[in-house]
Amino acid sequence: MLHTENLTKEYDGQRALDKLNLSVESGDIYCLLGANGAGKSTTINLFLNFIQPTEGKAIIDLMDVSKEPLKTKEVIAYIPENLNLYGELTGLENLEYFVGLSGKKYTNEHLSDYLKEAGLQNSAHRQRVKGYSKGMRQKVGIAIALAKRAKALLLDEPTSGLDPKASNEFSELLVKLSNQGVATLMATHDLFRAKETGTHIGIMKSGVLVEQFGTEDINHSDLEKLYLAHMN
Amino acid sequence: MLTLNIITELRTIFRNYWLAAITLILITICLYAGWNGQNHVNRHEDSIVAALEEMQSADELMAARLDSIDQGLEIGLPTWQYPNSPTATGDGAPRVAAFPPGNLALISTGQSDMFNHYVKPTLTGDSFSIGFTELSSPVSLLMGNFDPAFVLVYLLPLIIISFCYNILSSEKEHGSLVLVASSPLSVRHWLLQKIAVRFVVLILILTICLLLMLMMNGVMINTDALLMILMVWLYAAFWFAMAYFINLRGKSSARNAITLLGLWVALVLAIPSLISQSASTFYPVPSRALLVNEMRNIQAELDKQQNEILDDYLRNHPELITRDADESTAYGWWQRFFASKDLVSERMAPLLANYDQSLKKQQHWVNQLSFLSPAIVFRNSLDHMAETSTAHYDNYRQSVMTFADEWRDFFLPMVFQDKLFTKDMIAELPAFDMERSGLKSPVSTNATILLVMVAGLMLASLVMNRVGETEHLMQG
Amino acid sequence: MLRLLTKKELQEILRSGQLRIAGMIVMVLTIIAILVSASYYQSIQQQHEEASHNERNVWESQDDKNPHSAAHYGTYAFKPKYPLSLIDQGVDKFVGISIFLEAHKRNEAQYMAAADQTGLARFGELTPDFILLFIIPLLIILMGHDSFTREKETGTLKLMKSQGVSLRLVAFAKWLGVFIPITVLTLCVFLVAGVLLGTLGNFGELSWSGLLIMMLVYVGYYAIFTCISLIASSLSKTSGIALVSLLAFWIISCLAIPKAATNIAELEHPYPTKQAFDEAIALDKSQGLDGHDPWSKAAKRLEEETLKAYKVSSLEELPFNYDGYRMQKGEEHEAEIYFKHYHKLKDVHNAQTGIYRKLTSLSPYLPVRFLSMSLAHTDYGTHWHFSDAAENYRIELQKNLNNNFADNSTYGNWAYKADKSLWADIPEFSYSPPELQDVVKQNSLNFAALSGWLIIAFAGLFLSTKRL
Repeated sequence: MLHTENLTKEYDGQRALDKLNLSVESGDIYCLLGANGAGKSTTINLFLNFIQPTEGKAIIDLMDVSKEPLKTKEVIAYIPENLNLYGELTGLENLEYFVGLSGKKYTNEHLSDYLKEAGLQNSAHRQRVKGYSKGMRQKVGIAIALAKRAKALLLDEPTSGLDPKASNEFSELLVKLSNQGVATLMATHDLFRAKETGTHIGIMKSGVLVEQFGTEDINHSDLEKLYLAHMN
Repeated sequence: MLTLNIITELRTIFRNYWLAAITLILITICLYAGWNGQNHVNRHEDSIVAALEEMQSADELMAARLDSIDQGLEIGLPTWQYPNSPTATGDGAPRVAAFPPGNLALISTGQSDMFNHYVKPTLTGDSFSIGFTELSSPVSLLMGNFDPAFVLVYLLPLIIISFCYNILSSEKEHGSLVLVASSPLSVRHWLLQKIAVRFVVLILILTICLLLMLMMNGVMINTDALLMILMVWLYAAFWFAMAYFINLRGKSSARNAITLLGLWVALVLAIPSLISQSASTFYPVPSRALLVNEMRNIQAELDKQQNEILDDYLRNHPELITRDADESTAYGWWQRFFASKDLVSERMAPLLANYDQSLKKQQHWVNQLSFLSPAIVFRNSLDHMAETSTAHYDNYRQSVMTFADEWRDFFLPMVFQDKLFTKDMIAELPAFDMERSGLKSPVSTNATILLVMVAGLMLASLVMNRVGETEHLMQG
Repeated sequence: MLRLLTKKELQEILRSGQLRIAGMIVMVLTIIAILVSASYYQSIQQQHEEASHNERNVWESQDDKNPHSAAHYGTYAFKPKYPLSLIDQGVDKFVGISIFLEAHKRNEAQYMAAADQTGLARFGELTPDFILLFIIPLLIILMGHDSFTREKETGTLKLMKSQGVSLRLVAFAKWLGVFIPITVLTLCVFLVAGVLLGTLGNFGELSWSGLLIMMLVYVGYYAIFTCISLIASSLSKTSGIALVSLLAFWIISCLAIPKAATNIAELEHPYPTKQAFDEAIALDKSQGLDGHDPWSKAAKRLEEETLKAYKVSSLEELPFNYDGYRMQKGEEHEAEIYFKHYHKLKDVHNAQTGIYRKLTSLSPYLPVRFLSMSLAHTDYGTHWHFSDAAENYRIELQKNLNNNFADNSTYGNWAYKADKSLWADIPEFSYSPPELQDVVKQNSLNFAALSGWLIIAFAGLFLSTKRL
């Protein structure tokens, strides 16, 4: 579902991403680990066409992102580290809006169902988002992905700053989505969550993918050791 | 998607204090400015009405006196002021040559605080020395008026800027832009829809405010009034397009605010003053002080050759020769008077034409450069529609000059042929009529200029950073 | 400490690309404005001198004629320009440049420059006062609006607070950071103007103390704007809000209030229209003594009184030409009427000035505008002063001519012609504007308003930094 072919991004001659080749299939939860500036966000931004690749391609559902930026966006959903919605609109209205931007239209009941499915309690649906906690906003983000029927999910450190309970709820939602066949690419610093939730892990350093493996092939402490080894 | 975007944008606007604030501000300043404008118009109207009423009662008195003279009664005036004497009536019963305020006069004070709204040309007065400037406090002229034109030309752009300077940048700073950008749509079009919604909302409020202001002041809502509102839309569209363009550059809210305000200062304050300065620098009006000298020299010269002048004059105007015209009679004196007066006018004409010429050149220069600032174009249209533009007063002046000649031509044969003014002639006295055929409306040209400006900005926005659009907008 | 803090502020401001560009634009505009104004005033001054000279020639080269004919022939008084008008044009564009001084009539000054310009001129012109009054405050706003918000947005304010430095001191340093460059700029403008005025010959005598006071007025004005910029910055959450609110303040105090003041003044104390004013005078005149009309009641009364006073039975027996005497009495009477009506007009003007004065509490622009004009002798007060001086000269002139007529001819002798030499004997009109001390004294309320603003602005800054 999500592929890259020698994906490279340079900023003023500095390589932020160096010939990345990865692939995330339907049902996978691929967690990208790495220090700040390792190229995780760059990868995600390239999938989103927020930035243009210097070389190589990012491919979503067999379409080249830079050639078909709008079509590829129809099949993906994106949740940034800080999901900021329109404060003056309710959760429901925000959902309606962002899903609508992808050209999909639902009744309020349907939208409410999606919010519920994303774990947002009923009473919050019609409250203005400016009163939401970060966890609640992330849930709206998931609801957008659900309602959009996204085939792929791009997450940029979605759990940072969430309390453990909210973070856990968020992970469960991801698993649920992946069971429905959604391919997920998540940049994160949370080794524990990556091991628990992910199906694959890739470790990046200075724009290079230095290691990738299945989560079942490694235990928590080995993962930590391996990660730290690459960081030094 | 369009409807959804509209609904959402409307929701955001309505739930924000901005809309309430803008509505309140607009309605207050529009009504206040309209009230000011109307007060100004009323003063002019009242002065004209008073003058006309006074003229009417003076006419009645004159008719009564003429009757009394016919009946050989004493009227209590020295004989040279008797109304049957054409010189006395030509000077003593002048017509009111009025320039009544137009339907939309309250919109723009324009030049109306500087110039007269009625004059009374007399038989012996020099038409070139009729004072057309109003007796107004120069401090008022310097400071200007808080009229609708001020609100529309100066304040409206600022309201639009404060409404739209961060329409994209705030989403970026706040973080919602990434979500939008991850949707399958063009951010450019999405922003265009958002700004269009704001445009329509503001236009709607503004139109209601303007209509309310016009109706409250008893202005007839005719095509001109609607045309005026259309011009306001175009001017507003320019500033919205500018805000759109600046937002698309992807800079921060603070940078956008500074850029837009800088543009406001440049377009509304600096460029007009620069152009105006350059107009008077490149096409300076000849010195009025030296004109006074010229006029005095001509007078002095003519004083010395009185007799020759009369001969020359009568040679050119044989119809005015009477048999008993000689210097010993009053009529001889009047003949000399008008003859030398005519000569002064004749000699002054080319000098005075210089002023009209250089003013025309200035106006031409200003018109040519007006495309540099939408404020000039817009202001010019407002002045024209309010009938308070320089061109209108110039036109009025010309009409008065023509009328002054007509007035003179009516009495002069009587003076020269020693005829008396009679009561039936009151009805035949020439009446002032303002000739408007020379006034060309700049509104359609100005509307085109504004349209081109808006289209140009939209085109520039379309072309700008087409490649890597999102990257550009995201990075700033 | 203060030095360190100020140094940092100055570095920040002077290194900002935006501000450098803005400063440069203002500099270039100022230079253009000064040069254009200088050449304009030079030519105006030259024209003025030439015109006055020519007019005097015309007057003196009259032939032998009846003094009263000469009185009707009249002469012109031209309004001179003063050096500081290079900096502030004031209302000069909106008042006439010359007054026709003739028998029986006080004329308004004719030929205002604005009437010979396009409507665009009403937008204002690029003159030094436009830059000093409108543009430099904008530059101050640009420099000062983000001085606190920037530190809030980047978090350096917290860092600074944690160092235990007094925020008042920081605020003062920020104030200096904005104020010093602006003062230097102002100093340059005035220095250039001063040097230019010193070297341009025909500008009249430059009063350096006037120039200095004018500069201090502007520096005070900028101090107020600097304080207000910092107050807004310290109270706002973001730079955008600070900028927008400061701009609102600027537009309200520099544009909206002065314009609204005009409307209030015109509504409360309207000027009569020119026609109404003239007609009121004509009415009063028709009821009084007309020097040309020996048959009116007033004339008859004067005749009786004169005969009684000189204890003679007929006008021919009087030791002077009664025609000239009556003419002079008529002139005096008419002068009184003019005096009365102009006095009324002046009352309206004073009432209007009172309205502007009241509104100075809402706008620091107003006191500065009026002070600057007064110091430059381009205010309305100076114009009144000039017009009164011209009127006094006119009355004197008429008296001279009528007395000559009365003393040198006999009753009924309208054929009397005064010798040419009389014209040259009559002194030339000369005018000097109010002295600097008088200007300062007359503007004490404006000075008070400016000082009031300064005190309030500094107090506001002092209080607002407490809440940071």
